[in-house]
Amino acid sequence: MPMEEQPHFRVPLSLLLIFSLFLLPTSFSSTHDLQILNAERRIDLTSHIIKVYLTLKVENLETSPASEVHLAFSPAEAEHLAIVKAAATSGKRKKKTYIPLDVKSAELPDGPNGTKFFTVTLLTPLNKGETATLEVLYILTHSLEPFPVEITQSESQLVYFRDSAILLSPYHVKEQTTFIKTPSTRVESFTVVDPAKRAGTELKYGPYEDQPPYSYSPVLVHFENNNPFAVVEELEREIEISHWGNVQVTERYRLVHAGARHKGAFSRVEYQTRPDATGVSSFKHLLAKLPPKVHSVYYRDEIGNVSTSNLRTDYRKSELEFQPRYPLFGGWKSTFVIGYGLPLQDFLFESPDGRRYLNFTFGCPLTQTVVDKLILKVVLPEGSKDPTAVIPFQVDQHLEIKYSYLDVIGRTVVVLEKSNVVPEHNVPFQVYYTFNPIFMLAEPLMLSIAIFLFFVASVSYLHADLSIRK
Amino acid sequence: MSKKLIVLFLGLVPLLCTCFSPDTPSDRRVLVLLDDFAIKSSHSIFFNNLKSRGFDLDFKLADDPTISLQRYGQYLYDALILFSPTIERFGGSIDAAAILDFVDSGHDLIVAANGNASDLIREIATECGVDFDEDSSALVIDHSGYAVSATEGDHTLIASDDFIKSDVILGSEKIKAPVLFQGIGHSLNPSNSLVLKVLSASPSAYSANPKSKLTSPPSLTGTSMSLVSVVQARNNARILISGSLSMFSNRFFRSDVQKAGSPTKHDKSGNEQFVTELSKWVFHERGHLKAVNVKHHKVGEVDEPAIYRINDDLEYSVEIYEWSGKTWEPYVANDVQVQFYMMSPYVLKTLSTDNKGYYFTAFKVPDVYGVFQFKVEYERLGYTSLSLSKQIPVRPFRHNEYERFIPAAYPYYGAAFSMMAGFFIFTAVHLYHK
Amino acid sequence: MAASSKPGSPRPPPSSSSSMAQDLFNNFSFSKTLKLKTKQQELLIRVTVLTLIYILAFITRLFSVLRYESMIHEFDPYFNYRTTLYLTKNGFAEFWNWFDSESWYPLGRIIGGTLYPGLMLTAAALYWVLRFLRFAVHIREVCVLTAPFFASNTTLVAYFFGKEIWDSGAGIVAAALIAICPGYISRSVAGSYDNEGVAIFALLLTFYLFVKAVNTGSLAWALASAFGYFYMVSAWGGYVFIINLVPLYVLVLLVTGRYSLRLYVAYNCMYVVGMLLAMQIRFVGFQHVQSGEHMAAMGVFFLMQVFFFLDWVRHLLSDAKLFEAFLRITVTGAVSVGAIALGVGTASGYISPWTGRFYSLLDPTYAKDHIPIIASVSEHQPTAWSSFMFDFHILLILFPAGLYFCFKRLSDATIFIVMYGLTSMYFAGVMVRLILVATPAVCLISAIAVSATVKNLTRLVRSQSQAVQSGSSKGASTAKSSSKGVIDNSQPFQRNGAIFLLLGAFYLLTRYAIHCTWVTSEAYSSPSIVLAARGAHGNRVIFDDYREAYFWLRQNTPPDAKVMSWWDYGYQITAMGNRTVIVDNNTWNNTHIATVGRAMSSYEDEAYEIMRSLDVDYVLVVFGGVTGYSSDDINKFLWMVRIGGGVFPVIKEPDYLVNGEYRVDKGAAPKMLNCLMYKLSYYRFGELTTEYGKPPGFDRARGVEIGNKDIKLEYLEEAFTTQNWIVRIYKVKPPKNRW
Repeated sequence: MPMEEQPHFRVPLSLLLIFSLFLLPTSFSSTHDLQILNAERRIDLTSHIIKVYLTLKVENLETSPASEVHLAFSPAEAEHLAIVKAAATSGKRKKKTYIPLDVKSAELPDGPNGTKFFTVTLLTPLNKGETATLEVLYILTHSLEPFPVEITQSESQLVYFRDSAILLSPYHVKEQTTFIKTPSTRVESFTVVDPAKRAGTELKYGPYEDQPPYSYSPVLVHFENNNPFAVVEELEREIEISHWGNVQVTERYRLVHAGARHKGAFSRVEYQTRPDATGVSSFKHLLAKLPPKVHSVYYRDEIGNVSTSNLRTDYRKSELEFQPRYPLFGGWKSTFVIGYGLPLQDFLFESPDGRRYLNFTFGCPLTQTVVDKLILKVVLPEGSKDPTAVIPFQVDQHLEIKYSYLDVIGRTVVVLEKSNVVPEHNVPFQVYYTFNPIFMLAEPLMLSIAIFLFFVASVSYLHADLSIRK
Repeated sequence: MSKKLIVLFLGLVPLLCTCFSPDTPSDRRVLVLLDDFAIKSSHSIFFNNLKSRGFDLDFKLADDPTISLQRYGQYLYDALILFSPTIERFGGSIDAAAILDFVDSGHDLIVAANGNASDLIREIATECGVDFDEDSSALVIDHSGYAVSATEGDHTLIASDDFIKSDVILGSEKIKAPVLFQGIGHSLNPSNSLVLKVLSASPSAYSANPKSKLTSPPSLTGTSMSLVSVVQARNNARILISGSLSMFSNRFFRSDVQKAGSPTKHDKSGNEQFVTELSKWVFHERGHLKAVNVKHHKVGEVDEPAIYRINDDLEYSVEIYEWSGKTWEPYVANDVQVQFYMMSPYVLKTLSTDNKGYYFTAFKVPDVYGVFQFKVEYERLGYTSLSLSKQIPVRPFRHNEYERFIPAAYPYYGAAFSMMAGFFIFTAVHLYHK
Repeated sequence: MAASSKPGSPRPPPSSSSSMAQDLFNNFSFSKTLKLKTKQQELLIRVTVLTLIYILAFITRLFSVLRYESMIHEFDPYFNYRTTLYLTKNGFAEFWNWFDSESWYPLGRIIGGTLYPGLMLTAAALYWVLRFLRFAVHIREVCVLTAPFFASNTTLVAYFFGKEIWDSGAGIVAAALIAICPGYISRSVAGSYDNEGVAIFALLLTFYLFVKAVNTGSLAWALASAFGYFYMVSAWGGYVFIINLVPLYVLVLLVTGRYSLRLYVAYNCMYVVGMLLAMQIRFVGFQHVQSGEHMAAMGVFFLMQVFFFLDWVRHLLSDAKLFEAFLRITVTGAVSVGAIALGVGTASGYISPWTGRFYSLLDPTYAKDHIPIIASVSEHQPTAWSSFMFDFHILLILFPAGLYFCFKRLSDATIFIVMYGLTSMYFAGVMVRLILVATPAVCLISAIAVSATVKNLTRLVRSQSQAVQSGSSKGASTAKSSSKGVIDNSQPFQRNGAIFLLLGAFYLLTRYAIHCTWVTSEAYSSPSIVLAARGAHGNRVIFDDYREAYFWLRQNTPPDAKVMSWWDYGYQITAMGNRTVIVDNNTWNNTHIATVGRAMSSYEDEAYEIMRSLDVDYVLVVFGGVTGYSSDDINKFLWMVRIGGGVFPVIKEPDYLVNGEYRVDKGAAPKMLNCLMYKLSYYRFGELTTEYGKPPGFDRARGVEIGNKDIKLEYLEEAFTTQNWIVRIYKVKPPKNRW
C-alpha cells in the first residue's frame, strides 16, 4: 500500500532521502554525551493545529555533567513550528509536578542538512548515569496538506500528515513509541513501519529499539479531518487607551478557510436541507473569547454592519459568537472588524516607579485559529512618553504616530508583530509608559476655547457695521 | 532497521524523477487497456516503439476491476490507449464519462475500434464528434482501392493513401506507402469544428456488411467517410480515433502492400510510419506551442502601464516556442496576429519575428476609450491553439492634455481682452468726465 | 451652515446662530435689567424657534440610523458614495478626469464628465473641514448625514424666503412646515445620499436670492442668485426647472406690465453670469446655449433687451404716435428674428431638440410609448392621489388658501411663488419624484395661508382683551401684529369664532406634525438594502442578503470578474462588490442595457453567446420567491423584455405572456418557462418547500407553484445563493472542450 502512495509525496521525501544517506556518516560525529532511554510521542491531529506531546527520559553517559538537551526538528517541521515548551517532571503518577524549563533555538554544527535544533536547559546538570524526564510540547501549523486538493460540496476533507515514525534526535534512542490521534476513525491509508498498528482513532508506531542518532523513517497518514481550517492571514489588533476610563479594542481580521479548496457549484438547497451531508468541512460559526465586562461590542466589515452575532457575558469571561456573512468553504475568504470597549481599571495599572502599564492578553481571541501574521498596536494617550513593551517571547516591535479626535501632536503607538500565532500565545504582556495627567484636560480646554471664540466672533460681527454706504 | 529504511528509500528513487512537469508537455505514463493480452504481443512493434520513445506503458485488461484513472482527484496517467474495441463496460471506476473527464482535464486518448465495436467505444467516439457506422457488422469495402493480397477475397482490406495535408500531424517526410486498413468507417459530426480526417476513404469506398447482400444504399460512402480521425480539444488534449485496430498490428506493419490498380508494389506498408508519426503528434511530441512573457508598454518605456490613453503609441511582444519532444525550440511563422479588441478588433496587426521565437509589433491605440484586450488567437492545423488575452483599459484625454491655445480661438481672446479694456476706459471716462 | 446662509443675511436678523449669540450676549450684559425690550423679546423668540426647527429638521431624519445603522440607502446613493470615496482619496483633479473601467464593461464611463459633482464636492468639503478640525470622522458618516444637514439649512432658506414674500411670521411657519414635510423627507433622510438632498436647498436658495434681487434690484443679490444657480447646476439635473421657470416668470411680469429696471438688472445679471458659470460644469457644457431646454431663457434674455431699448426710445421720443409705430416695427422685427434664429438653429442641428425626459415631463404619456427605460423606473410613474395626500397631508388644503392670499396681495414676489407653486404642482402630478420639487412651494404657500389666517384671527382676539396668545410658532406673528398695534372694533361672536377657528388651526397643525412623524418613521426610513420583516412572534427579522451576496463577490471572485445583472443593481455591485458590471443605474447607453435584457429573456444557449461576447463571468439575479420579496427580477422581467425588444426585435413581449397575462406557473408561456431569467431565478427551487401546507416550489412572491421544476443549466453553474435566496449568483462556464 505505501508504494502506490509514493507518487504523491516526492518533494519532501527527497530531502528525507538525503537524511537517510547522511545517516551513517553523520551519526557518530554528533555531540551525544546523552542518550534517550525512553521517548514517547503523542501527536494530536484532531484539529488543524497539531499538538505534539513528547516525553523524554534522558541519561548522561559521559563523565562531564550535561546541562542541556537538544531537540531536533526537520526543516519542514521547523518552518511550521509555532511554539516549543518544555517542563521537567518529578514524582510518580500521583502528585506529578511540572517545572517549566526555558527553551531557545540553537545552532549545532553537525546537524545533517537543515536540521533545526532547540536547546532545553535543565534545572540541575546531569552527572554520569543520572536520568531526567522532560515533557516537551510543540505545536505545528499548516502541516496538514489537503488531499485531494479540491473537493466538491458533498465530499469530506482528507488530509496528509507527514512525519517520521522514528523520533528525529541527535542522541541514541533506546526505546520509543509514537501515538497519532486522528479526529475520526476514517483513515484512508498510513505508511507501515513495523511494528505499527491502528486501533480506532489511534495509530501506534513502535516500540522501536536502539535507533542511532538522526535516524528517520518518513510516514504518511492520509485521514479525514473536517475540523474548520480557520486561518487568519492577518490580524491587526488596535488597543487604544483613554485615561477617561475606557480601553477601546479594534480587531481587523482577514480570515480564510485553508482547507481543501471548494470545487464546482455551491448549492444552497443542499446546504440548507442536508446540513450534515454537505459542506462538512465548511464552517459558519466563529467564537471569540473576550475579556469580562466588555461593552459596546460591534461586528462589521467594509460594507456595513453584520447582524449575525450574539454576546454571552458573565463575570469571568465574555463570549462573542458570530457568523461571517456567508459560510466559508475551502479557499473562501472573509474580512471583518470586531470592536469593543473595556473598563480601564481592569487593564491599566500604576507600577511602583510611578509609570503606568497596560496589562493585556497577546494573541487572537478567536478559538481554534492560526494567525499567520499578528500586528498588535497599543495606542497610548496623547502626550505619553518612552514606552516599553514586555513580552514573554520574541516579537519585533517599532513605534508609530496616530492622529485621532482632537489630536495635535498625535499619539504614540507601540506596534508588536509576530507571525504564526496559536492559541497558546494568549498570555499577558505589558506596555509601560509615563503619562502626565494634565494632558487629559487638553482636549476639553480646546473645545471650550473654540466655542468661546465663536461667540466672541459672532458678537463682534453683530456690533461691527460692515456696510460700505455711509 | 536503518538498513531496511535505506532500502525503502532506494525503492523510492525512481519514483522521484518520473514526475510529469507542465513545461515538458509530452506524455510519460500511458495506460493501455486491452481486450486480451494477446494484443500486447500482436501489436508489440507499436508498443515497443512507444517504449523506445520513453513512455512507460501500463498494460491492463479493460475489465480488470482494479484499474482506475485517478486517485483523490489526481490522474495517474497522462494518456490512455483503448485497444479494446469489444469491451461493453470497463472494470474498476472507469466508464465513458470518466474517460471523457480524463480528456477534458487535458490528457490524450487513442481509440481503436474495428468491426463489431461495442456501444461503449461508439459512445466515446460520438462524444468526440466521430460517428461510427451504426450497422455493427459493417466494414469498409472498397472494390477499387483494396489492397491486393492472396488471402482475402472481399475487399475489406484497404490500401488507403488519402492523407491529411499536414506536416505537423504526419511529420515532414511523406508517408511512403499506402496504409493498410481493415475495419469500420466513420463520419465526422458536422457540428464539431475540432475533429479532422487524417485518413479518409477513397471515392469508391463504402461501408456495408460484406457477408450480407447490399439491400439499402450504404449510409457512409466515398470521401465523406473517414477511416482515421483526430481531435484536438480546446484544452489541447489530443484524441486519435481509428476504425481499425489491426492497423496498429505487427502483421499490417510488416506486410507488403500493393494498391489495386497501381503497378507499384511496396514491400512494406506505410502503417508503421503513419502510426508512429500520428502517435508522436497525439502524445504532444510535435506541434505543441507555448507562448511566454507577453509584454506591452508605451514606446520608449519598459514596464507595463495600468491604463493607456487614446492615441498612445505602444509596443506588444510575445515569445512563442514549439516543443520538439525534448526541448523548446523557437517557433518560426509569419502569420501570428494580435488584435486590439473591444467587442470587435480595432487593430489587427501581424507580428514580425526575429526567428528566435520573439514576436513583436507596435501600433497606435485607436481614438476610442474603453476596456480593450490584447488578443492573440493563433490556431493552425495540427498545432496547439494559442489563445492569449490581456485586458487593458484605455482612457480619454485628461483636462490638461488638450492643446492649450487654439489658433482658431484667437479672435475670441482678442474680443474678450478688448472688451475688458474698453469697459475699463469707459468707466474711467464716465466717472471723471464731468 | 453659517457660510451657506451668509449671502442671505447682511442686515439683522442675520443667520440664526449669530443672532442667538447676540441674545445670549444681551442676557449677559444687561443682567441687571432682565426686562428685555419687545424687539429683543421678539428676536429672542424667533431665533430660538428657528434654532429648534433647525435641530428638529435634522433629528427627524435620523430614524433610519436608529432603526438600522449608519449606512447608505437605495441604489444611486451608492454611486455617489463610491465617487465621493474616490474624490477624497485621489483629490479633485483625478476625480475630474476619472475614467471608470469598472462599469459599462467594455465601454467604460467617463465619470468626471457624466455626473453632477455638486453633492460629492459638498460632502468631500465637509469631510476635509472636519478632518482639518481634527475630527477623525469616516467619510461614510459624512455622506450619511449630508442630506439631513442640508435639509436643516433648507429650513433657514425657507424662513428667509417666506419673510421675503410675506412676512417673518410666514417665514417661520414655512420653516416649520418644510422641516417635517414628508414630500421632502422622502429624499433627505439620513443615508439617502442623493443629489436631491442638496439640490432642494440649492433650488430654494436660488429662487430666494432671485426674488430678493427682483425686489431690491441690487446687483449683489442677482450675482448671489447666479452663484446659487451655479451650485444647483453642479448638484442636480433639475436645474432645468429653474432655467425655465425664471424666464417664464419674467415673461409673465413683462406681459402683466410689471416690467421694471429691478427686474432687468436681476434677470440679466442672473442669466448671463449663471450661464457662464453653469457652462463650467462638464456635464452641462455647451448644452446651456445649444439644447432646446435652455432656449426659453435665452429668448427672454433678448426680449428684455428689446424692452429696455423700447423704454429708452420712449424716453427719448415725446410723440406717442410715432412711438406706437416704432413699437410695432421693433416688436414684430424682434419676434420674427427670434423665430427665424430658432428655426435655423434647430434645422441646422446647432440647437439640439428636447430630450425624452423633458418631453415626458410635458406629456406624461410620452415615455410609456417611446422610452421604456424611463417608464420602467417606478419613481417616474405618474403620481397617484394617495401619494399626494401621503406627502402633503393638510398642505394640500392649505395650498389653495395660500394662493388666495397671494392673489389678494399681489406683488412680484407673490407672483413668483404662485407660478412656482402651480408649475411644480403640475410636474409633481406627472412624476412621483417631482413631488420633491413641489414641496417647498407648497410649504411656503401654505405657510402664507396659515400665518395670514392666524394673524387675522389673533388680531380679532386681541382687539378686545390683550390676552397674549402663546404658541410655539405663532409667537412671532402675534408679537409682530401687536407691534403694529392695529385694532379694529368687532363683535364678541366674531371673537369666539376666531378663538374656535384658532383652535381648529392648531388641531390641524398638530395632526400634520403627527402624520409627518409617523410617515417618516414608517415609510421613508428603510434603506432598501437591508430588508426588515415581522417574524412569526412579532419579532423583527432582518434580511441582509444583498450585502451577503455583494460581499461574497468582493471576497471570492477574481478582481477582474465581470458581473452581469439587471441595471438596478449595477451601482451597488460596483460600490459594495467592487467588481466590474456590464450595465448600471446610469442608463446612458440604451443598446447595452437592451443587450442584457435580451440575454436575460432568451434561451440559455443564445444567452450564452451574448454573455461570451461580453466576457461575462458571473450572472446575478434577485429572487423573492422564498421570502415573498416582491420587487425582484421576475417582477421586473417584463421591462427587460420590453427594453430588449425595443432594440432587438427578435424579443417579442407576447411570447412571454399567455393571452396578455403574465404568469410563472404551469400555465406560463413556454418561452417564459425556459428563458434565462426564469431558469436562474427558479433553479432547484422546485426542491424547496417554502411554506407549510404548500407543494414544493411554491413561489411566495407571486403566490403560485412554479411551472418548470426540473431546470437543468448547461452553460452556467450556481456559484452562490444567499441565505434567503434573495440574491443568486451563477458562474458562466467555459466553452465545451471537445466541440
